[in-house]
Amino acid sequence: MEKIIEIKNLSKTFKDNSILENVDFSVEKGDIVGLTGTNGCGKSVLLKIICGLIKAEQGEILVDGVKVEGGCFPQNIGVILDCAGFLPYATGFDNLWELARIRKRINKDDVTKVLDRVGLGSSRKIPVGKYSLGMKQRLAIAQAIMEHPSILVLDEPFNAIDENTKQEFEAMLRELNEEENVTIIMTSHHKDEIAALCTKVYQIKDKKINLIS
Amino acid sequence: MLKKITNIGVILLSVFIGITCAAFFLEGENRIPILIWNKYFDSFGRDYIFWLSIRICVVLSGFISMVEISEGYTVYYLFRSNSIKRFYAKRVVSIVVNTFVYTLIMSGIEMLLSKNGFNANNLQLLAVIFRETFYMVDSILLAYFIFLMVKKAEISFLIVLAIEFLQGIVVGKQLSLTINFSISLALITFDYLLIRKRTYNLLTEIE
Repeated sequence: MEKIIEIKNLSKTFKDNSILENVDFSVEKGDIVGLTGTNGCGKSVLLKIICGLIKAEQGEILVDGVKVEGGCFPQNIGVILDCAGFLPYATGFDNLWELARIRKRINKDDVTKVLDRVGLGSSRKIPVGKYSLGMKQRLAIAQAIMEHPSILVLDEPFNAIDENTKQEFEAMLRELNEEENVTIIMTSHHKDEIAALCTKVYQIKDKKINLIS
Repeated sequence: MLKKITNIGVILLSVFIGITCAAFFLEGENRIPILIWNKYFDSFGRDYIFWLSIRICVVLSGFISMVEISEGYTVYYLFRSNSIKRFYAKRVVSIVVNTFVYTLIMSGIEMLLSKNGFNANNLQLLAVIFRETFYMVDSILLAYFIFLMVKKAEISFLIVLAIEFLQGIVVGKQLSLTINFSISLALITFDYLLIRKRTYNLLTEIE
């Protein structure tokens, strides 16, 4: 299988605190990969390094054959990061449309469709400040998938989402994976979430990444 | 849409403040507001309130950017902008253009409404506009920098206004154009470098 994400000999340190050491890791095209581990083990850091938001001291990161360097971001990735990320006084639609206008890959109808898809169709004209945590997370998922990326990088995507909605999203991610061959890499503290969805599960422990299932 | 509304709002505010200021000065030396102003802030020079008003407009226009960063919105914005260098270059260009446009509007109003004229039409207008643009770009970058330190957009906004007042009291009058340009350029470069590093750290939570 073709490798879509490839990391070689990666090391990352924050103020003398080593997070990852000489890590080799790869994701094949069409895989759904889960990363698990304790708080502060480096899951989010690894995802941000893949996205180009954090620069590693050592190592090489290739996304779809293109070298990723800190400060330059791969363009075929949809991301959910562990932050609020939306303007509270703008509506859900306006937030997504402002972001969509940067790359100009989709139009207003596409934004409406993606909001319908994540179940926010009826709330699209409500300011995000009035959204519940679960609705904000739905909006984050809409933001990640709206431009049809070939890779989805999801940091704790099911935070603050109830059980029924979680199952809906798992089904949606499976559908994206099967129908559009989207590669998914996600983190979670909950091993059951990862096990239910992912084809491969890795654990970050003692600054290394190990395949556990 | 949001940015369009903000820009239109700031332009309308500029026009409003411009007309108010011009009317304020046109009323004459013996009016009570002028007497109070001269008693406490005479060292600013008469036109200081006018330029301060423009600066308030520009800082307001930058305020929304700070709110964006504080809400984490810019992480997704930044991520779609191809590179961090392009992201900052666009932001700085937008501040400069906004500042220039607002200053132009306010100067135009002053030119139209004033009889005897203030700095804007006594001196070379373009030179003054450029000087004020530099001042304001520096102010907005300073506001960004303070915001990144205190992480509160409102506080940074107030601190910059306080600095403007103190600067007026201490310096008393505008420095020569060459010195103004040099100081502003040095400060802009310095602020820009600091902001770039701190914003990047803030967004990626390295600190």
